[in-house]
Amino acid sequence: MYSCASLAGVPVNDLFMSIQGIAYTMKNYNTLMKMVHNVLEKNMLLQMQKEDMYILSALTSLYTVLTGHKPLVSVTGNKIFSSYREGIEAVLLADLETAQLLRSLYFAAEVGRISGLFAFFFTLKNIQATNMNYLLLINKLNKPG
Amino acid sequence: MNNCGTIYGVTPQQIIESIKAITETQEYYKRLFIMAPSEEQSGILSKIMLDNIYSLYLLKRLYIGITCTEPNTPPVYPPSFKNYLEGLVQVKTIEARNMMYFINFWITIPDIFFTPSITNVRTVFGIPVNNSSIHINYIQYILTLNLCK
Repeated sequence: MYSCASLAGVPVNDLFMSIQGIAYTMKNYNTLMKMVHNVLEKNMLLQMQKEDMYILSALTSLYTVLTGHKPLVSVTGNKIFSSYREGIEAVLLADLETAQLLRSLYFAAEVGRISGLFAFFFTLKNIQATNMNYLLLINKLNKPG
Repeated sequence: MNNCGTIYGVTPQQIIESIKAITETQEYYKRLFIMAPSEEQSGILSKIMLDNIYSLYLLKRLYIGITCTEPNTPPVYPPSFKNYLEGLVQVKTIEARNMMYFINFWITIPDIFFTPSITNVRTVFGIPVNNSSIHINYIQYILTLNLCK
């Protein structure tokens, strides 16, 4: 078992940044869901928000076990987007940033189970980015400009 | 400690081929970077280029670890696209091809450490696989921005 002092090769700062990134996208899903009128798109966003809740909870627990204290995540209020498309773009870029952090964590972690967890979350984030790319494309095609 | 001649489940020639694949991709990004119409897009492309530089660094270190000589990579052909959009489409295809190429190594190479740090042989090939999957998403994003103006 790993004590709080042993970080198992995990760069805590990267872990904290990825928690912050996921908290950011989770909040923005709320804003996006208020703006979307299509049921299919709403369901996609709901699914991604559920996945983010799961990732956030797992990473927060891991951070607490590794450092001995909970991460102090601060995401100030829901961001106001001028359009639905702008919101999608912001979440897509945040997803990719978080995926990059999770990839670094995956290769840095020395314990197989922990790195496996990061690999899983990295894959989820990358799939989410692909989904957001799809949403962005269909919205651009439907309403160009 | 000098580990020259140690076999890590990969041959020097395979490393040279891998370096060539990434260098070729990097040439595309360099040209696209010059052609990028906005700061946001050139920023994304430079981020991708940094990922490739790191992958090349790891591959070169692995080559030196095995042979104790600097890798002598064959020259790569310059990219042949005519415009920005065509270049993006081509580089997206190349990234997908690279991903499949590196996956074969990643899943077959043994988990052996070649430096006292955490760098192991699988990681050297795992990083380009994951990089490519992220790069494809970034390129798709840039493509969407430019396709539907």
